[in-house]
Amino acid sequence: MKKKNLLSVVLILVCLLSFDLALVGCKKDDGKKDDPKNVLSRNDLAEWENETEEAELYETYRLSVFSAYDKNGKAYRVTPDVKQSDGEAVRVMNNEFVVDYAGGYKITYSLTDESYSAPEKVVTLKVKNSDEPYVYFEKTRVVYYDDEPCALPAYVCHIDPEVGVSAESLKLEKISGGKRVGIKNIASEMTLSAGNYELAASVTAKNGKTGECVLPFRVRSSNERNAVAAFNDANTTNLYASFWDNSIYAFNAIKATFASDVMRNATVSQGSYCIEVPQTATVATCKVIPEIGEKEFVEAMSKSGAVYSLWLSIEADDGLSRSISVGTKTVDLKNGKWTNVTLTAEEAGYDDIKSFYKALVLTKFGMTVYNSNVSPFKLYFDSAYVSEPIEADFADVSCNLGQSVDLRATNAQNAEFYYELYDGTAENPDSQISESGTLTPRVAGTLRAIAHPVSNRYYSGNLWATVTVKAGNNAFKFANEEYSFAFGKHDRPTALLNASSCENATYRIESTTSENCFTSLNDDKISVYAGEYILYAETALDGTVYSAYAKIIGGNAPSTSGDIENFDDPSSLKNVDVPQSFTYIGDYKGATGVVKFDGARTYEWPGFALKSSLTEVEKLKQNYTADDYVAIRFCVENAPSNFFFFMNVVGAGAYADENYVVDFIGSSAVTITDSEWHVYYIKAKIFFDNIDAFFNASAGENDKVTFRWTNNSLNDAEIYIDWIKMVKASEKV
Amino acid sequence: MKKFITIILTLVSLATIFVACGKPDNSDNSSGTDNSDEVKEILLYDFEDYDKSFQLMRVCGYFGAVNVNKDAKYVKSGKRSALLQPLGPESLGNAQGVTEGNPETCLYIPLSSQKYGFDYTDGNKLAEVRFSIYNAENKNLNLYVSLIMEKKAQRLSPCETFALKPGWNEVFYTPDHSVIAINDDLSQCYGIALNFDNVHSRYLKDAPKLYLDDLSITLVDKPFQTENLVVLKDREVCDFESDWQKYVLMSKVDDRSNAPDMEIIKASDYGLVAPSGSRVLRVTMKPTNLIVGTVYNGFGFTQALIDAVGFGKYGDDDYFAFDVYNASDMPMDFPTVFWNTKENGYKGLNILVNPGDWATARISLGMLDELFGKGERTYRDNPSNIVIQWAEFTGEERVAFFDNFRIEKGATK
Repeated sequence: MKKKNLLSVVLILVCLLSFDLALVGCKKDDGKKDDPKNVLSRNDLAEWENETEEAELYETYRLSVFSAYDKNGKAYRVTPDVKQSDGEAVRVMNNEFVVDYAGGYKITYSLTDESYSAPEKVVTLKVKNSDEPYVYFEKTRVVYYDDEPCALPAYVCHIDPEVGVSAESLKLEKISGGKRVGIKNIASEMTLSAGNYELAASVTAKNGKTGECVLPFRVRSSNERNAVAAFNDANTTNLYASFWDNSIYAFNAIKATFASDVMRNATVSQGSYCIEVPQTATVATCKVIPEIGEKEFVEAMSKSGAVYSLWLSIEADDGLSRSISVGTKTVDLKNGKWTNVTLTAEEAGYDDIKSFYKALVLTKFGMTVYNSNVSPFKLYFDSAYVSEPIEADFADVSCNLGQSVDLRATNAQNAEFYYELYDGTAENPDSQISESGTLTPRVAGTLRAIAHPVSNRYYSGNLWATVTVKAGNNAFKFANEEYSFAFGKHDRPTALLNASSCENATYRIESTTSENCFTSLNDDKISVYAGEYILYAETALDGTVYSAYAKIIGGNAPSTSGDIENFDDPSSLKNVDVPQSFTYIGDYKGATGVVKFDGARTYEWPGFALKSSLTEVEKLKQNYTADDYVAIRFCVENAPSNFFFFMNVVGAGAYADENYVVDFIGSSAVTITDSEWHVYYIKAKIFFDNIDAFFNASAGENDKVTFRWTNNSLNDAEIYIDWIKMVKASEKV
Repeated sequence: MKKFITIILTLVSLATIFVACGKPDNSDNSSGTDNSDEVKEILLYDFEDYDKSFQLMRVCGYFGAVNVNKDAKYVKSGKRSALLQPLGPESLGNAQGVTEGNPETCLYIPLSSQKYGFDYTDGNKLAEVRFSIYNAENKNLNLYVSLIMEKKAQRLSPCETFALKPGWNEVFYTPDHSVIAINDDLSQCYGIALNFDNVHSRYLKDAPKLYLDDLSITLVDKPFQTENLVVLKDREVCDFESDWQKYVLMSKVDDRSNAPDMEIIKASDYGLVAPSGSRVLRVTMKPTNLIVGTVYNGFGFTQALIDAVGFGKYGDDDYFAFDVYNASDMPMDFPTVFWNTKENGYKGLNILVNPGDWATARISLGMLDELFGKGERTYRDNPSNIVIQWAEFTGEERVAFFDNFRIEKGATK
């Protein structure tokens, strides 16, 4: 029995050991697919069918299957595997990848737990439009110069490899004046002459579909290496402008746009950049961001006589000039005329060239444009360069009027020049320009010509020549070089051709200053107002255009009937400090010669100050006493409620009789409630007592008399002014 | 005696069976990683114990509300779950420079507790986060899961998105260690962050209802080996053609609500020609209600990218350059600020860009270093974040595109 028991024990142990081994074996093979513990069919799992999806090329595709669920809601973690259709593995980052293979993808989801046997879920990801070549250049912001090989960018084509490509082509053309010239033997690196080009890559798929990309670019002249900003193409943005906006009391940025058809000269420029300064801007700040590197800038500016050179021009509806502060310089920009601003580092306000460059880069160096006229205008920028003076010989020439001259400048470097002949006045924007140097003077006399280097890296300096033009038998000129006229209407001087009158001659008159030209022409009459003017005449004979000019000097308007300002003609507006805010409208509501104030409605206290004519008060004093009055006649249309009209004496010192000084809204202000003419009287004593303070040579800028009224921004009030004059106390109404 | 021997044998056998079979089968929850033979699943939050579950969790940055739920319908196991009513964050992104103490909006689920004696903050060993979540709305909801990489939740790892269908969802979040390691030290992973879409309301009545239960983590013994994803072409800083580049972007804002939306897109989808390749960065800048006058928001690159660029190897004549397209209707100024690791920042350039045109910005590295001064504080010796800024503005959102951040040779400008 003992033996039997022992056997039983051994048998039990053997059985148990076998069972254990089986279990251990079972544990070891737990994950083997060929001996799965659990088998799940596709039907056992929810939403486990294979799918096909579509994605755009370069879309970021996000894996969306993280778990599988069986019918009982039990969740199983899944493992994704992503391969391109050509079998290449895809690195999935954070469950995402970028679709950049046109052949598509195979995304395989399997249960992570290998103890389960389950079919895989396969998502076939197709790329939309992958049967059509998608072609692009690897680089599109290219900068090339004509003195070094241009590394043309390669192109990339995406297309489903299953579709395949049947043809590829690359085309390079130079575009000049609307003409296209094909360039053969295109290499990845090739030297190209300066100009505009177009590179086009085209791919045709075997299914006939095509894809193309085009890259327009410009090869710059090596001379442009000196460009701070050439402003020659829209490819670069170097200009930034902002303005102080009166209406919102803040700085606003101004858009700068490339103007391909506005340039100072087609020989040296291919366009310019323009900013439009709005009416609400009194001050605009402009900054030119340099393209040139620091090393190149410092090297170029270190040359003898080298300057930072920038060309500016304005286009203003009011025809008036604007002032611009650049570094330590203030420059007057005349309407329609290109002005060259040049600066050394010192003139820019910096100790050395490097500091100047740094300020340009960090946009700490700006130009301030003043729009004191409060009228919109366009400001053009062109050819910002580091320029150095060019040395050349430029010989004087002579000819007879009607003949041409050949202007020729030469220098050792064989630099190219173009030529400008001033055959009007030196200020005349109608100078003649020629690339060849062959020009026909339009007037007789001793004229001046200048040779301009074609390259902006040089400036002409004093490269002037004298052009002597003999009158011969074809003289076209005025009898006098200068005419002085009293204020008023006169016969217009006539230019004679060959000492005879010329019926087809045309005339125009311009102010010699930036102010409005009030003197005007009417047939053979000239209405002369105070100031200096140039009278131009032009005519043509045998295909040659001749021009002549003469200076017109106009006398001051006479003071009559105690007038301080009668506003009887447009030139009256020269006597106010904000002429742009007025319109001369002539007769109005029975009054002769009236001006209308219609500007600056947003000012808190709109108004104006008189300028020169108040100096006449000294003369008026001879006929008036302190008990007489200064009076202003005005009317207001559409007056707002509580509309006050008053006179304000601005200035330092206790010079005013406080009974008559209306400082802002005071007791003497008149409230206007109708649209009738009103006369507002002020004792003359205030003027007579303070003439010295107001009107002598040392009177301060702010020592003046202003006429002001309530802010009329709430409606469209219109203020009309007839006159300001002295009135005898006995005549006061 | 016979009975005794039989009992002993039976016990030995059962013990042997138990040892042979090992622990209960949890293999359907295993991470599947090859990194270790040893995987350990830990049920971290079952939401049955208020103190251990709810008291540890934090609601950060106007996340919304978290409450105890006892309605069995929304309980996966046990008797309780967590009711989430998220309002959503102002933005989901990698914001830096945000005012101190202003965390990312999220439900902060800590991976450590001194009180309860656990510490699973070594993200190198975190294979998986698993939890059950019930979407009580009748539409899909997006869930964003990430790891908390800064103790006060001021920085989260890139999130993974899960579309939650109505009803119960089982979420398996497997962090991409290599992606997280681009910017962060995985050994300091403070918690799990849950986020949802912004409902554009600050009232709980507008928030969706979700129920969270049985959050477990799977750990491995052997740390994950990460791969270096930040691989640059010659002279490349960031041209937005590679998948990883979205992870080296960061916003730099005073207020997270001003953080720009950043998206790498195919340029031609927006009618643009990419300066380089086909993809560009699209930045949507947010307006403010009030102009303070001193606030500049921006975006930039993380230290990981700056380190990979290796600014020290470039010379005085080289340029940091990039292309920018201003798609707003007015000129914009993009001051570019360089920070060194000594926390000195200098504006390298104002990038003044007119609307509707690509512009190229170039900054001389030599000149940049002069701003920092000579010596050990220079940028190239201690390069850190580069931030493209813009001044605050009101009105509509503005959009700009950026591309091809690079180092250019001086000779070619």
